[in-house]
Amino acid sequence: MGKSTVVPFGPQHPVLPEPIHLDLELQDEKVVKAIPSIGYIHRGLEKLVEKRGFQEYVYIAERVCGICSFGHGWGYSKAIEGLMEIEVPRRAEYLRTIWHELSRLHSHLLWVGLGADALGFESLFMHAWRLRETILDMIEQTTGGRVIFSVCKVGGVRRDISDHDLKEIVSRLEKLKKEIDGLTALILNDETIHARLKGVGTVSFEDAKALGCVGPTARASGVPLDYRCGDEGGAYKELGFKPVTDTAGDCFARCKVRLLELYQAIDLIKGCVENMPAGEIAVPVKGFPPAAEYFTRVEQPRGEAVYYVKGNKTKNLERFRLRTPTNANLAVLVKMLQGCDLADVPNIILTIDPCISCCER
Amino acid sequence: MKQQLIPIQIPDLLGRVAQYKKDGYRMVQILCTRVPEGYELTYSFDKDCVLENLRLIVPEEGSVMSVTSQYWYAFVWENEIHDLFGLNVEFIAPEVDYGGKFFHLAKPMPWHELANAKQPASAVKVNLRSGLGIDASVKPASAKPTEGDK
Repeated sequence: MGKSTVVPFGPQHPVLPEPIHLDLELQDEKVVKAIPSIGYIHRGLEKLVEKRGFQEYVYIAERVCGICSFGHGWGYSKAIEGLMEIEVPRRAEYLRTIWHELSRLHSHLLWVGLGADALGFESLFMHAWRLRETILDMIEQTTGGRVIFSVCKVGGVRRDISDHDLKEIVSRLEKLKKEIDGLTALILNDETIHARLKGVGTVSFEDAKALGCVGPTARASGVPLDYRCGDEGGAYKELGFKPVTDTAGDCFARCKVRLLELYQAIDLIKGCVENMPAGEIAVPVKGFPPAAEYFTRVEQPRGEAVYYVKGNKTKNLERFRLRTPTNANLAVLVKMLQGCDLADVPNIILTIDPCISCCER
Repeated sequence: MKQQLIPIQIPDLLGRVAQYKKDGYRMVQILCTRVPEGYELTYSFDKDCVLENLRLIVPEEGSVMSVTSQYWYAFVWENEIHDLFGLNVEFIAPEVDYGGKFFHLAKPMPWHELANAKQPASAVKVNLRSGLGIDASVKPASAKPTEGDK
């Protein structure tokens, strides 16, 4: 047994898209303990709710994260709608579902690219990001933005999608699906990827439950936790929905769950287009949020996000709080890193798909 | 979304949390809000998409017991509450009690101050040129001139 050494990992590291710091206590090549610390991109966005009007704050909520921006705007709007008892038109809910699932597609493809880059599989990284561009083009065509959509508002959405554009989205997704087939086959059958990811960072079903995992991290361990099955809103109830799960609980299983969720997202978007209701896309919002509080949840690409709002009969809220999926998955990350090889640390961190800007807000 | 808010007292916290654990609830979050009485804490638990929330008020100089003995992963939120609000959370599991070093912050306890707290205008100091060490006090328009102003 060698002597203990502490190796600092991050905040700047080639595999980290965002800054998180970990002090890794090592004995030889094995990690004995991992101590996380965050705060490098803490922007105090929750606190800003005291200074911005409740309708204006949707734009700030979207800026919590550049990847799941739409989901944050939706979650915040949904919380205000619950607080003010606003009923959103069905068409708006379907449009929100389409944009949210497009976000999931671009988030998962981005993750595949980052994962491939961490493995040194550069061509796969470029291939995944090329496919992601198709999604970003669809988002730009329908919202005007590529990362920040600014289409969600309290009471509905700002923009409609024409029938022509909806048909075009479906036909482009059909073509994309064929390309994703190739991507999936490559990842799921590649020996090098198997060697690097299988049996690494394993979380059992019991541990996933005991450690409060959410999103693909929980589902890869067999926990069917997906808030789209709940009363999330959107079109999920009408479209029918079953979470993608796996039982292996390792890095490879987390990768597999995300790949299969790409197909699920495409099917959900097609379902929305086929069943798109006619009608209004927003309702007028009058008055200020009452002196009350409300919780709501949204299943983001990385997992369940919890939104809390507290009104005080003024245009500013008293409190807004967001518990992000990465915030919930930090505990399992600390556990997974205990006992792993130093060389596996980047892969383990990446397979929880950490979003530090979300986590710190 | 179905949700319940249950007010409790500080000594009841651990017992209630242990009961949720026994009943198979998942802990979803701990929320802290600064209120005039001190800190308003909300512990959220989920089972079958129903959210139950325990609500307690911790006085300004008070502290609260950690729930990591029941839900180990609560250390993330307890460390966060300590670092952002300055609330003392006692007996966090020792291996995950980061002692104020979880959040790297330029200003310690940035959310300790009460939201929208209005300070008397005469007490507000604006640091105009901090680099040169020049400070200026902002006074209300109605303030009478002092000896030093003449």
